[in-house]
Amino acid sequence: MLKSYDFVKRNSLSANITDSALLARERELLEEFVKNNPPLGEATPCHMCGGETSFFAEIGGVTYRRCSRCFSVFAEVSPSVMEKYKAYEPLLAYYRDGGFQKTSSEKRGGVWDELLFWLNFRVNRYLAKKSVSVLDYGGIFYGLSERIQNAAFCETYRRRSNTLGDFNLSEEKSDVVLCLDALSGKINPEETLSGLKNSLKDGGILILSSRTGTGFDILTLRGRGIYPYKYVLLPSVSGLQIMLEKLGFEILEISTPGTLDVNYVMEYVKDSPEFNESNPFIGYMLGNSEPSTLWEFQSFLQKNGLSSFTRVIARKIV
Amino acid sequence: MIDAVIIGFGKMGKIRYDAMIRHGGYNITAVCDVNEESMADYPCKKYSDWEKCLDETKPEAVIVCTFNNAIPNVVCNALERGIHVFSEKPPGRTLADAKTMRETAKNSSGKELKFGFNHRYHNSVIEAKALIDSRILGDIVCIRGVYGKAGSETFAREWRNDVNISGGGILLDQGIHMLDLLRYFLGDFTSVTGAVNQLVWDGLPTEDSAFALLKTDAGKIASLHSNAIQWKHKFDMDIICTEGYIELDGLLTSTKSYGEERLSYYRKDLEMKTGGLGNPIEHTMCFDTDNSWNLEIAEFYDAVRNGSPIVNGTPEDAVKVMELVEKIYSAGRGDSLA
Repeated sequence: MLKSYDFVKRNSLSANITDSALLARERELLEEFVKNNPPLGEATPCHMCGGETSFFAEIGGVTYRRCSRCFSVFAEVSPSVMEKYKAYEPLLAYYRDGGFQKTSSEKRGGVWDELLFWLNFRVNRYLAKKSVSVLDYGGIFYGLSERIQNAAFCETYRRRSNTLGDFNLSEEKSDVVLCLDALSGKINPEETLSGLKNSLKDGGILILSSRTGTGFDILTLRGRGIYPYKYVLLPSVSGLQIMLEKLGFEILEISTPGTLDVNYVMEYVKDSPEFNESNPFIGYMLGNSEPSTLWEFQSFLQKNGLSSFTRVIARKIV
Repeated sequence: MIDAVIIGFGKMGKIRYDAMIRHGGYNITAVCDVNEESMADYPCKKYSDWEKCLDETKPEAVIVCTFNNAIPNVVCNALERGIHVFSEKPPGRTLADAKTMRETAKNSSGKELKFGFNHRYHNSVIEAKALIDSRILGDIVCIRGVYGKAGSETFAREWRNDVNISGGGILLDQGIHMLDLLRYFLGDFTSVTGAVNQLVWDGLPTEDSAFALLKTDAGKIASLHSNAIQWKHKFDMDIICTEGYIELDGLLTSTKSYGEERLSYYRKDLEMKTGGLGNPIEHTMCFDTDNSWNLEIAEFYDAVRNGSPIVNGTPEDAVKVMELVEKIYSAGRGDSLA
């Protein structure tokens, strides 16, 4: 496995890619759902590696546990509640709304362009083919879906998405399966990843990205900023490795190229005197450093596997 | 399993030995070196006479890690005996040596000959090649390369600077790797010029600095500075494409003295979509594992056992790169070294 630490050199912290009004509305809908649908979950072994777990945090009335072996974090939620969440119409309508989609495209367009460039590069690198068949799983942004569909490397595009609707699905297997930021909403990652593996040709590649339970902002804030049930799984880097290898994938590369960990913590810290009391160094650093210092710190997180955004590329071998 | 012997058991012989053990498909039946102490701790037959080694062990493959002056003789002898050969670079001391080995391989009924142009197997090089071949940064137009060594207290006395043994100086010893990479990325060069000198190490029979400027028929240009006066180990390639740029910085080696191995790339962004003018968003990959020795020995195994073609370090690659070396020496000094 190639362990490459892809990090992005910039001169300042990244601009925020979310709209605060939209984020607030999303949070309202999530809180409403949680209030009316308590988790009904119970303590279980780690969803990634089967290891022992202990209490991590209580977030919005939902208990999150952390694995002592692979350090993945996950919510105690019952499958029946997650089924209801998947079909929660107000949230689906919110995501499908033109306003949400338009604003997301405006805010995230630059990030998506870089993502498409990276996907093109990695597909060429590992499949040595100019164009491939792609299954895009679990996305919520039409703008990103269209970019992938129209990308130079994408010969055939298929989509399986509860939010956007399925597109061009068939029994045919794909060269590439994309699972971009979709795993965090799954309480049974093994079932999801197993299904994605079945959609891949032999030798095809899974490209997966996810928020990660071992990242700076997740651990520093103990999950504050993560909303149930949108995030019920924060796999660790090693948890992803363990599970994918167990399922018959060869990990080709893992990197943590996240750019927003410092932003997220700063956002929280600025209004939280109690955080500065209990974390004086972090509070001081974030409150008193030059932007270039903060960016160097973000680079350090990226380079050393400590950002809370992970990308994995794995090849189906068995 | 491929029964194999290693002839020449200094630093490179041991590196190849370890890679073969890791691969698991080789049965190393013997090692051979004039220095018996160098073989002391290894659990296989030991020889100081390479011909006797080949006579008695009758291997399927031989790994040749001798001094440069011995390489052609051992390689040709082994091929003529029907043995597959993996030889260190440089492919002998001269272009004539490389051509002789190429001809012998051609006449050796399907026996494989591979040369150890190992740098093609480094992660940063593999990634750069993928970026270039995909053309997502446009067409490659030029490369600037620097491959520098620090020198050492004993540098002047090393066998690498004894022209009778080595055939040349820093260009033949180390710069040859970068010449191979320049060819790997840009294709064959038809115009070559250079400056070959002793800039600091006075009295050496070989050069401590070689500058080269090379051009392909298609107008692509490369420059190289290969030197033993960097006073620090340095490996740098700047690759410019029509729509972007790639930088290779550092190389993971057994000594870790060439620093971290990195590849950085960015796209041309004159519209300033990703950053200020002159400061486009730049991506960097850092590699913490060197698989090059494993990949090389695996390619040789696949060629011998499964008939897969040798793609890197072919006899033709060896001849082409030695042509470049000789042209640079010719252009830079005006005399022959051999």
